[in-house]
Amino acid sequence: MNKIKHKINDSLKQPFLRQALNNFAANYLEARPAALAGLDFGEIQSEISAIKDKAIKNLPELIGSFVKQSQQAGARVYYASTGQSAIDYINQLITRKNIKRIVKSKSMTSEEIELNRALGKTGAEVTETDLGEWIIQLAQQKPSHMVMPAIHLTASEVAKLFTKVTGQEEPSDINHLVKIARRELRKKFLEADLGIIGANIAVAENGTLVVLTNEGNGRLVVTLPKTVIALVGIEKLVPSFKEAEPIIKILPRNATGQLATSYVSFIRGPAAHQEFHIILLDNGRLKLRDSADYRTVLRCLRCGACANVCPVYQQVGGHVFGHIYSGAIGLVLTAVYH
Amino acid sequence: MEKFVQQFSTEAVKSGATVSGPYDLAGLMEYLRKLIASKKPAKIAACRPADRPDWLSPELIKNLATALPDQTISLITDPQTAETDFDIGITGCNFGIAQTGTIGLESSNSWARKVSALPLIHIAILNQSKILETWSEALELVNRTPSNYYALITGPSRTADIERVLTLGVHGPEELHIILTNE
Repeated sequence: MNKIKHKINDSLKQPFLRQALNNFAANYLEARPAALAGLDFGEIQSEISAIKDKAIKNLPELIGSFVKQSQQAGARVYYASTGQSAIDYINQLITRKNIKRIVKSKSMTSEEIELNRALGKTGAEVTETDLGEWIIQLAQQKPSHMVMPAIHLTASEVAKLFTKVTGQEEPSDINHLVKIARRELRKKFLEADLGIIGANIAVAENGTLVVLTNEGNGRLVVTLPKTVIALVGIEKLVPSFKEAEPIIKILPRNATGQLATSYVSFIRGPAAHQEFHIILLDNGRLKLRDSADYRTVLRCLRCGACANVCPVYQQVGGHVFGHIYSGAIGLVLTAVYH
Repeated sequence: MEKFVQQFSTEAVKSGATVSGPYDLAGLMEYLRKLIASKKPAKIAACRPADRPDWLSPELIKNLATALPDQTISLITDPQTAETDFDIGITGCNFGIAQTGTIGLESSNSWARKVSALPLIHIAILNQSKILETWSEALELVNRTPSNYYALITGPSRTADIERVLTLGVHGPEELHIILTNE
């Protein structure tokens, strides 16, 4: 049997994985329509497609405008044509500023370039602070879903991972586990000298980054460390602030059936006494733009909905159905980026 | 406006926040006193709202503490403090959004972010005349405000990363109390 068949067979032997994915999928089928009540999804989808198509067409101009505007707001902007060049830039910053402790908030773009593995080699301590990302970091795994990275693990598996962190037997009560994460990660936030975030939208006309989160870790990552880096794929650019609106509206509704995420942050430049770097990542995106067959992939907002409704994904999960980007869109993104 | 206030309250409660008021300044201070007394905090941080700096002035906050004689509460109002460990954070709000019960907080000053993001309890004071109907209006306002950090907050900090079970207060506040005022 070849490798993929082994992986499929292995995942089919995990009843919890299938049960968790099926439960979420069943719930999603009710939550999403409820969150979209009163809205014409098709209309908003067409609107966003048109915005993204315009952005993709004018991408070089948008990059130019975003760089200029965010620099005016006090950010330092670096254009990374490859994942390696983004990693090199971050490594140089770590060396120059003698950075020892890094906190990260969830960023699929950083997963794409396998940033954590590279940062590990610098000797600096890297901590993922999104709960799901922290869990899979402790388990030394990759995310199995773009929005819910640790959906494949049970509470008792999480308790075992946390037991290793605290050095004492931790019960698998979910409330208790979340409290441990708060306590342990709060220490990391306060000690960190570098914070790394992603972004959901980058606005070309005024250099604003828009970040949607539920946990609030992203807010601490950009507020507490003295130096902050935002790693942003260039496909996140939209021309104007107005054009960010339909994306802010649809992303939480389509991803998890929420009307709004707990936190929507608009970041433009650094706070006082802070250094703010933005890395715009190409990594094959500009080239993808030249392909008439595949350029629409750049429209993807990374909501994860294609996995949520996929019967194949529900059977095997994202570690089999995908590499770093999972689900249906992952098939295409993996071919392009990896 | 009545309609927006009603819708704002309904949606904010759905998102997991509590909503009370509207109060005048005296009513606000009385409500705050009761709320704080019930939480028994050791430390409270406050960030003065830019539009009504008189509301959370150090004097007023001090009066609040002296009105709770049986509790020892230390008050932190200096944005330059190195303190990061407080039980309750009190801020104003720049606007509310009726559609989703969301509050807007201009946070260029990182003190506003710390007070609203670090503690387990966030108390936000919102003048009810500042409740907007839609996100469109709110985003227009955000867009025309010079700011390096604008936060839109809907309910408490939440996660469902372990077995899809909704759990509050993972990193930010576990409780969000919105108090409406009418002056």
